[in-house]
Amino acid sequence: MEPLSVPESGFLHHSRTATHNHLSVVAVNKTTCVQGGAVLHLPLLLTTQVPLLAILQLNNRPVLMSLSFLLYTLLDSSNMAPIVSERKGKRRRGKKPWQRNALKSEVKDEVRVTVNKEKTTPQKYPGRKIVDPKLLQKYSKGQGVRVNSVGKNSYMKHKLKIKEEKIRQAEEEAARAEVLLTETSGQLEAEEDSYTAHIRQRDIRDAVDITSAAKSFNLTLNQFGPYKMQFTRNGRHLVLGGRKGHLAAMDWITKKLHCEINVMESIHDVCWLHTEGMMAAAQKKWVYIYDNQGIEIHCLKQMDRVLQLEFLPYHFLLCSASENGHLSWLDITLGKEVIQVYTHKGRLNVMCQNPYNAVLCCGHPNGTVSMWTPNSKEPVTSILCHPHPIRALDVDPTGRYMVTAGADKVMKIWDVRRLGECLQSFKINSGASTVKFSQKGLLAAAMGNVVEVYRDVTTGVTREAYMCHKSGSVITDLQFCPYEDILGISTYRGYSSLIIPGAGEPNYDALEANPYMSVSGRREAEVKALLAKVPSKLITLDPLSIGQVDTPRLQEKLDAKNALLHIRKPTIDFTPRYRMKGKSGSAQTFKRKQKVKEGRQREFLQAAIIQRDSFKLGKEKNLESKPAEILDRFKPKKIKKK
Amino acid sequence: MCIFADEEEESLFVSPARGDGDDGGDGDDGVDGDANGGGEEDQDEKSHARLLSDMRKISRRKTEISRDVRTSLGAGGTVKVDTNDILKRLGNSSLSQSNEKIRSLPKPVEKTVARRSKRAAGFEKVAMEVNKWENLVHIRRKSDQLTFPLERADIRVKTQDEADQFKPRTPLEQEVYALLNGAKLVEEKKETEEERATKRAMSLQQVKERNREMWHQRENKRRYERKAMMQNKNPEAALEMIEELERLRVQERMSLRHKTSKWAHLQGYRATRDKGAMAALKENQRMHRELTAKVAAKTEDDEDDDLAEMEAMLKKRQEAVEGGTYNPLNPWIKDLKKGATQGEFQGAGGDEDGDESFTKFKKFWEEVNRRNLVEKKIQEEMDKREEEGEVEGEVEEEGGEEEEGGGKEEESEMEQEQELGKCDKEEEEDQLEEVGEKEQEEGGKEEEEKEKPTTSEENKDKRKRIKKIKPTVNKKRKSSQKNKTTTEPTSPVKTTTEATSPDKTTTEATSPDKTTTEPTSPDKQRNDPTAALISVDEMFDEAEIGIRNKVKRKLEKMGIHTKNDGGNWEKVKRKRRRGKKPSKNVPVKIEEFDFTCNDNKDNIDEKLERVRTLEDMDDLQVDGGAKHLAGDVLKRGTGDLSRDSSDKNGTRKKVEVDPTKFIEINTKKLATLMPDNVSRGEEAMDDDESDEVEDPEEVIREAFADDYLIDEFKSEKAAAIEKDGPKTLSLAIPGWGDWTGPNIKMSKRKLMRFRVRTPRRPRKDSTMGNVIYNETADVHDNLRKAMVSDLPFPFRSVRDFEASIRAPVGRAFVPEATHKKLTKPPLITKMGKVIEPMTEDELLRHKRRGPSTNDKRGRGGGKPSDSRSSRVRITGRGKLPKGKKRDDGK
Repeated sequence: MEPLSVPESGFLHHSRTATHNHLSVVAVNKTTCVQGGAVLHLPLLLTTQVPLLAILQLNNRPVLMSLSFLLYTLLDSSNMAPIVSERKGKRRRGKKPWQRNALKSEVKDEVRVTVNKEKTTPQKYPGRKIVDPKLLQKYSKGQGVRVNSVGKNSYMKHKLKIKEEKIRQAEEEAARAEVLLTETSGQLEAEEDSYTAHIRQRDIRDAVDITSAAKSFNLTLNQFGPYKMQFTRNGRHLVLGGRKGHLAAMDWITKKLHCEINVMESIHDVCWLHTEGMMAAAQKKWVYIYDNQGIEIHCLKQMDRVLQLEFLPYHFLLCSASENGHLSWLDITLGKEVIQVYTHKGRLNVMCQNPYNAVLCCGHPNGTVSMWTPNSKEPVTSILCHPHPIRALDVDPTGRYMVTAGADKVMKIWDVRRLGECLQSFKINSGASTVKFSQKGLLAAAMGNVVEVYRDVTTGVTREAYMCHKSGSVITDLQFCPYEDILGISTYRGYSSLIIPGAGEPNYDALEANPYMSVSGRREAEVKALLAKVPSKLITLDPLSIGQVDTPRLQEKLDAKNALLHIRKPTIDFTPRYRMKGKSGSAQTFKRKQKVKEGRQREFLQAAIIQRDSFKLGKEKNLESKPAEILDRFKPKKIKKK
Repeated sequence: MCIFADEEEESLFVSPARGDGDDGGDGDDGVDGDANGGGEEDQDEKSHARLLSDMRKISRRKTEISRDVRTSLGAGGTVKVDTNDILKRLGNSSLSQSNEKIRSLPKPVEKTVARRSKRAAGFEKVAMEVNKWENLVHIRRKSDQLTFPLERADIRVKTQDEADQFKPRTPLEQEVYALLNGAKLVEEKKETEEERATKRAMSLQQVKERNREMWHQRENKRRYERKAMMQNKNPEAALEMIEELERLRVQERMSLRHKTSKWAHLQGYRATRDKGAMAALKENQRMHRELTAKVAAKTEDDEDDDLAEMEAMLKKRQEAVEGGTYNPLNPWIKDLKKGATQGEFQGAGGDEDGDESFTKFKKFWEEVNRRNLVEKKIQEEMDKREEEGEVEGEVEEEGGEEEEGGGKEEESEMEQEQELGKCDKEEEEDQLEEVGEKEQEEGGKEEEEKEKPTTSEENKDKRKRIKKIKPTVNKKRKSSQKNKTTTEPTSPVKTTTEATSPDKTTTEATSPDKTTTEPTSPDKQRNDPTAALISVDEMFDEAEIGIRNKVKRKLEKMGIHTKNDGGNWEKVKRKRRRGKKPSKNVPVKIEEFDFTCNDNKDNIDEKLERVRTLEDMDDLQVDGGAKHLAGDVLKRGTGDLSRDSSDKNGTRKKVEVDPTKFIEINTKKLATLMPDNVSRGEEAMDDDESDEVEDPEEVIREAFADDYLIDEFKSEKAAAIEKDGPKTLSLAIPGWGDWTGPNIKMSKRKLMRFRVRTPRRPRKDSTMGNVIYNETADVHDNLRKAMVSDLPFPFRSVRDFEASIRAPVGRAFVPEATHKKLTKPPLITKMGKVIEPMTEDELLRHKRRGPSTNDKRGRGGGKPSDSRSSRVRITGRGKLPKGKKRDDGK
């Protein structure tokens, strides 16, 4: 970097335009000041031996400074580079240091102008494609560790820094992996002066390809009337349970029937377990588990008179809500009931699970929605949603929104994470008997024999239905098929599947739920899922709370620690009794005094130590006697000593 | 031995010459020697004989020489003989050689010193030896992954780029090369612009290193300069400061108000009954602690901060002085005071000259006393201001008359007043307690409203009594205050501060709206020229009743309910007991009443145990400190995470129980299809599943569901709040100081008195009326067992720790490659391989990897060479520069 030379005429003008700062410099000979009016003596001897003043105009504010500093800034600021203009669309990291330093300086009309050399030649290796910041935001893991606020250990700091960097890279990689999601969700778009809701299923069926058209079908089952239904998590299989005992499981895409039996009892609800190999049916008295051949595997007498069934796939918990107000959770890996609570809320015929945190939500005739975990006999929260009985509710797969439909013909959208916040409220013509969210956030509501699907309900933009369909009889149950644009509805007289474009997630995660899973794949997935089973003890409203510090307990510990740190030996004021026969000489007295004093203080300190131990502040001595904890398996294994 | 022999020889041969030299130099001696005659001649003879005999003992040749010398002496008399000449004559003999060698060796150093230097040298050597490993250790500690056993041999193959380009050197080679080149058989590899640039350029690490080095240099320079500057300027100031501190300390000791004095002892006794004494003691202790605290030595790093602080403080103070609110004794603007004193030490201004005997400490106590009085009278003064401004003029005149009194009288009066004040206070307290209990019995929200009449009446009576006791005192106090303001020989700053009481300053400083509504400064009022000749006492008596009510009304408008003006302690106590945080616009007012405590809620240190002794008090404070500490860690965590949103706001809102406004939200109309009445039969069937609902009661209930359900929920929530809330518990035991027996009822007063209140934790659903949130059910014990309740090592805040474990690493959450990267083991070992200790080869290997690792620390920012040349440069590495702190992370 060669220094700028100032011409003899004493006029130096430097200008550089960047998006951020506009620098214009006037250096004036002797003490004449041209701009600003203020005179500041900052004589500087350059090669010209002329004392100079400089007025720097930075962002239209005049700043007076010494020329040496000015020159320094100029040279330095050229390194700062116009960030926006130059680097648009280029990766910042791609720029090498020597390129950043490039300065071009030349004298024009006795004015030396230094500019940042524009890079003309394209880079040979421009590096990886830059990631869309929005996408990055999507995969952001949140704010990182403030490394500087961590202790003084430089190595630790370094390691934390490295870890932060890795997390950043992980975010970036995850965002990059988005390329692999090749499929896009479909949608219906209506022409002007027409509505998507007017498009019939027949029209769609005619328009789409054969495979898709085959997915829309009707099953007429008018004997065993009103049906309940459920798809498996991968959306491949369907179970239907008729009130009059008809139980059927099928691969609905290939239309291959797994089994079809009549249990000879009323069926109130059906539910798949972790694979398509097993299903549960809430029958008249108890809950039964069948395999996909229709063979009864279990009869769960712990669950009696059940109206609603739910299965928590990550916890392997089968949950049931009974007619007499009991909620029970049953661990299907052990066949043991985790807990049964009496809700005091009467008949529980409205229930759903929150897929985000595995909390059960129940709707009650008193207008409240209560949320339950298998860890408490009381509801975690109860929200008064409608001043009328609640007829249906559902939580969307992301666990953000909850929809409730009341008997007051009002449908409300709630923010589940901020419990009491109602986002939208819609008045509908008739009370909805079932509501369901799709993976992509469409909302289906069944009203009598009509089913309507809405878009953008959470933002409240919607004014009319996205799609609607009238079925031949009253709809009793409905569900969007995962990973398909299909809405299954079961009625009094059978089942039909409707094509709802844009309903399902177009890209499936094969490790999570694979619709095309082979038998071996399924087995492996089963084992893995079992290994990764989440203990029911961790169910709570905020599933991330396991990664949080138990602050009240920490506070307690700190307090106890501090209390002990500042503990003080009591001062003992003891005057020994006077004794005859020379036993109260000063030495004797002192000794006696000392003895008493020490004795008492020792007692005190011993008590303090016991107290400390009770707070577990000291070293923990007997680790082995601790009862087993749920997260013990993540602890390092003990090395046995011979 | 050799040396010794040489010396002997020299003495032998030179001594006569020396004698000769003497003769030559002095002359007289020789003459004297001759002239002294016989006795001496004999002696000469004797010595001569001895000499000869000695000579004979030595070798023959030498004796000859000696003879020569002798003869020459004897013959020449005054002829000067130069030994050098003689030695020259001797030629190249051993003698001349010996003469050259004669140089005494230095005295051997003492054993300890020798050992020390040896040790130092040894240390240096070992340090060199050890330090060369430092860089390597550093690298390995920092590295992400270590592999064992260490790789040994270098089996890298040079790539084409790395291999040296062939350059023809010999003429033959050049010729051949030219030929080949001419034939275009060899293509000379041309460096592109970029490649050249890469070669020239430094690596990122190098750049970083260089920058760091430069920064270090700059930083060192800056520090040095600042240090020099400080040293040039301030040694005197520093000394002065120390002196001042020492002086203060001495004064404190001399004033006999120190911790162990008789006064303190007595106060200790009194403290159990007298709250004033307790306060005094506490203040005294605080002073003691302040004065006896060691002055922390300032580190270099602090210096610039201190400078900035000082500047800011001086500025503030300047502002305060200009605003007339500056008071050096005011504990609320202590900071400014500090700035002031420091500024004075630096010679900024001679404000603090004047009354040296009037020490700060003494001043402080006077201030305390004065404040006690001022507090008591503050209401009256307010009255004065509001209504009878004319009287103030009178007062001023009177004050002016009595100005000459001054001096000692003043002080005695002050004491008197203090005592009186105490009596009054006690009385007032008693009354107040009664009143308070009545109020408590009435309980609830009406408390404040109901108390008003009673308190005012009580006050009236009491006030009258007080007035009877001390009509003159009031007058005198006025005058004495006046005196103080005028006669004080301190700078104008001082006078203003004396005049304006601290409470005034605080009010002015913090609540501008208040000052606008009521001009609080009594000074202004005194200066008011409107005069009506009514005596102060009369004025008090008359004005009191009406004005008190007025003030009360005003205060109540502002949201403060004053029960008593005198019972400072009662006031404070009550405030604490309620645990009521002063709302934002009032805290200043309440501050006015308690001098001893800040309104800082953290400082409220109330405990179940009764405080009896000073030590207990100390413990209390210590505990308080601990609380702060504990809170600090957590604050950092929770504050950011906004877990307790209601806490963050500072003001606790009332728990919202009304769900109606949450339920009523704008309902939008959705155009939906009307379902057909398809199948009556089906519906009927649907109905019979839930025929319980068909109950007529249910039907009615559904019809009027709206209000009914909401009310139900309301009560449910209230019940939940009640259930979760802390229970008030009274520690009162029946029978103590009371009758006891079956069916005995304890007095409410007693129950209230021993009531223990646990602070109510803010509910998370407090802002949402339609939600009942059960925190214990949500964050249940099972979960809490699995949660972390400690902060692991390097972390100092909850937030950071939580951030460190925020990102999942499993396959299910991140791409496979990233998963592998994130779960990379920090250590890789090979099964069955012995891990041998590192050899020095390892140093070489690390050397080769790049110059940057090599120069991580230590050497200056010389021009970094490229990697190839650095392969050669191995020596002279790793030594830490002297005085550089080593951070080995422990």
